[in-house]
Amino acid sequence: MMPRDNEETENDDALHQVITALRQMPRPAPPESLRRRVMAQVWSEGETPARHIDVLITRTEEIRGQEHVFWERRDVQEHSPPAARTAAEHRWTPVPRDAFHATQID
Amino acid sequence: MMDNETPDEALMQRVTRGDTEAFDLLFQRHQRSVYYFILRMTGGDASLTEDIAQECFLRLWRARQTYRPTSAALRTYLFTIARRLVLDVTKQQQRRAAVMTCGETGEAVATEQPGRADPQTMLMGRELERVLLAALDALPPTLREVVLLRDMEGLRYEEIAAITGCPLGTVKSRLSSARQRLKTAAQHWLREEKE
Repeated sequence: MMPRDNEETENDDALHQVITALRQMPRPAPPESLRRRVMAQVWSEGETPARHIDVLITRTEEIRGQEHVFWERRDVQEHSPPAARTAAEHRWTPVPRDAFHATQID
Repeated sequence: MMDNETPDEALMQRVTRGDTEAFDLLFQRHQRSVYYFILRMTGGDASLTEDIAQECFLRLWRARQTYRPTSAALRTYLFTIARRLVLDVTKQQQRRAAVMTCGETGEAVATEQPGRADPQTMLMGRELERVLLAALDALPPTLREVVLLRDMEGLRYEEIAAITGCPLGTVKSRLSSARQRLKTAAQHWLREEKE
């Protein structure tokens, strides 16, 4: 609700008219391009949570009749594009797929 | 479930968790006010306004994890960012202008005068609007911003003081001064007071 300034306008009809006109003045809608620009950037940045650990399977291979996975852990920084993400840790030793989740969650 | 009734603070809580849909709702709720404030503070430069408005909302998005809802209402927060951005751009423009020209400087004065049309047949409301807008754009930024925030956006004095970083008394005196200037500029279009 619009606040009133009765004290100032009580005895000043001209001022009251000015303030009323200001309050009723139509305001143009922003261009649609503004929303497109803002939200495109937000969606782009929003794809990456503030900070999290990605565990990626980089390769699978069958070893002695059992499927093994090669994996690595990446520390993802806020707003960093994928190309700039640094691999904080690499595991070159393949892990049986069945044991994979138990291995990488520590 | 989110809709237009969802309070700002509830939406911001979702935004802090990276909820882009909640941010979109907040954006749509506040974009007109923020855009218009910047538009008037930049003297009607639509292109510059769009750039500044974009930056304003992106700063809110990027500050989502440090935003504290108890420190200020969201609209106060947004207007504070918008005002700072406008000031930064204005300073850059002034520096550039000082290098390029050594012409006269000084405060613009609204000099709207009645036209030839018979005032009786004029669309008084529209004319008053046009004259007020010209007078508003001619006000010094420190006066213009308080009129915009108080008389057009309906913010409380305390909120305006927080946005501008001025004491309450300064806000009130600036508002009074700005209103008097607008009244003077628009006096030809105001209705005669009935006795």
